[in-house]
Amino acid sequence: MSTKKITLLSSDNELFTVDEEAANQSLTIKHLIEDTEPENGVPLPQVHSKILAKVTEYLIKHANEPDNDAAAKEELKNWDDKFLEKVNHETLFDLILAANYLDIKGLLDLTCQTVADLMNGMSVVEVRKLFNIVNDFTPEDEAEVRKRRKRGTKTIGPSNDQANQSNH
Amino acid sequence: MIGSRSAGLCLLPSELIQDILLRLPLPELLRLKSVSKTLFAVISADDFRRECNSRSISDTWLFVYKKRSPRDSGLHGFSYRSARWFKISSVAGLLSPGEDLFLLAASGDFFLFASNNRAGGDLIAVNLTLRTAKKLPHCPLGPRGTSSWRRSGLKLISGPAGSDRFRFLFAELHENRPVLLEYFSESDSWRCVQAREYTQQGSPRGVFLSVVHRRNDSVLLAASGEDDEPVIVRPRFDAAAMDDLAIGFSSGGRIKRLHVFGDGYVTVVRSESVSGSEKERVMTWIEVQGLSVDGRSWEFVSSAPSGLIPKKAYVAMTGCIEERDGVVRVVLMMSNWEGLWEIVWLSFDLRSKVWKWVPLPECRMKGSNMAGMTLSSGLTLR
Repeated sequence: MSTKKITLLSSDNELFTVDEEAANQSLTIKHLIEDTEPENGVPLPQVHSKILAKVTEYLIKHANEPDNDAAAKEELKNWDDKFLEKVNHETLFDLILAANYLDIKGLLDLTCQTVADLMNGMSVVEVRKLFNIVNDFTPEDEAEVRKRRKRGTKTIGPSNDQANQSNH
Repeated sequence: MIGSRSAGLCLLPSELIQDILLRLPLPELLRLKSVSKTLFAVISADDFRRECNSRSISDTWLFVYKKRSPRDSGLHGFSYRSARWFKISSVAGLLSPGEDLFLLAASGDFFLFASNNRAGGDLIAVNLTLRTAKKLPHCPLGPRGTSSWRRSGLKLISGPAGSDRFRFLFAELHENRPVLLEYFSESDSWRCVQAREYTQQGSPRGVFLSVVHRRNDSVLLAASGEDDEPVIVRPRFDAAAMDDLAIGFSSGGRIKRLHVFGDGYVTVVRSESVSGSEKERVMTWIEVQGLSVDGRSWEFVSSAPSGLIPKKAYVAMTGCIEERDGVVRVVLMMSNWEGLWEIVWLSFDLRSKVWKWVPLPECRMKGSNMAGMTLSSGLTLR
C-alpha cells in the first residue's frame, strides 16, 4: 500500500516531505490540505525550517502510535526524552509555539511538560537564569510584597480584617 | 515567525504559559510568582487560580519533614498528581533558622510545627499561601516537648474555605481524665474541656482523637463542634492480640503486630521475622478496622490484597492513617539498617471496597532524620 506524500514549505522556502498520516497529526496541516488541496506543498509561512525540521522528525516518529504494545510505548517515550535532550531552551519554546500553531497535541504536551519539569524544584533565581527572564519588579514592588507579608503575619489571629471581609 | 527570533518563557502567549504552569505542583507556583511581573500576572489571574484550584482541591498530599541538622531541614511533599517529591522551599524562609522543629500536622494552607526550645516548646502555624508564620499561645496545660505529641491524638482543621482560619485539637489524659484541648485561630485562644462518657444510643460523631490504646481496648475522644462537649468512646478489640504489640511505632525483631490509629480507624500490620536475622522483619498482613456503629468495639473493615503488601525487610516502622470523603489512607514508613526510609501508601475506598497502591518515588532520606509526616488536602492558590 503506498501512502500519499505531503510536502511542507517553511517560511524560508525549505521543503519537507512526510507521509500524509504523519502530517495529519497536525490539525492545522490536515485542515489546510482538506480546504486548499495545495499542489506545491503546504505553505507554513509562520514556521522557520530550523523548527519545521524538528517538528517533522516528531511527526514521522509518532505517525503510527502503538495502542497496546507496552514495549513499543516505552521505546517511544525514550525516543521523546532523547528528542528534546539536546534542544536548547530557545528551540524548546519555538517548538511550543509551533506545536500550538500547528495544533499537534502530543508535541505540545511533551514540550510543555518538559519546561514544567525543568522548572520544578528550581529557585526563583535559577528560573530567571535558565529562561533568561529579567526581574522586572522594582525595588518598590518588592518592598510592597515584603510589607504585605509582614502584615500577613498578623492576619492569622483575631485582627484578621481580610478574613472577616471575605466571610460577609 | 516561529524560529527566527529569540523565544522565551515570558514571550509565550499567556494561555501557553498557563498550560506549562498548570503542570506544576501548587507550592511551586506560589514561589514562581516572584520570578517576574509576567509570571506574577499569569499566576494571580482569576481564571488561572480557578482552574488550578479545581484541579488541586481534591489532591491528597503526603508531607515529610526531613532533618539533617536543625539548620539543614526541609519540607517535602508528594501528591498522586504531582507524581514526584518536591521540596517546599518557601517554608524554610518563614521559620527561624536553627530552630529544632517537628512537623505535627497539615491541613489546607496550614502546617503546624512543634519546636523544642528552652521555653519548653512552642507551636508554630505556617500558612504556605500567605507566607506567614505564627506562634500559638501556650496551651492551658503548659508548654510541651516535641516528643510528647502523638499523631493519632491530634488534628488540624483548616477552614471554612478561604477564611485563613484553623482549629487545632488534641486529646490528653489529664489527672487521669480525658480532656480536649482546642485552639481557635480566630480568637487566638484555647479551650480545655473535660470529656464525658458516651451514653447515648446511636453512633458517636465528630473528630476522633486517640487518648490511650491498650492491647484489648482503646480510649478515644469524639469532638463534634465548638459548643459541644466531647465524649469518651471506649472501643474493645474482638479478640485480644496475644502477639507482641506495638502502637504507632515498632522497632526490633520481636514486634509481630503494629497498630496505627487515626480518625476512628486502625491499621493492623502483622509481620514475620526474616530468617537468619534477629532484627529484620517483613510484612505479612495489613488490615483496617473501624469503630463499630455504637462505638463499643473495633470492627474488621478490610484487609489489603497480598499483592499490595511490600516484601521488603525493615527494622523499624511507623505510619499514619486518615479517613476523608469515604477513603481510608494508610501510609507506612519502613526503615532499614542504613537509615533509609521506604514509604508505602495504600488507600481503601469504603464504598467501592477497593484497595489502591499509590506508587511513591524514592524520597531520598539517606542521612536525614524523619521529623514528622502527615497527610493533608485542600491546598489552594489564592
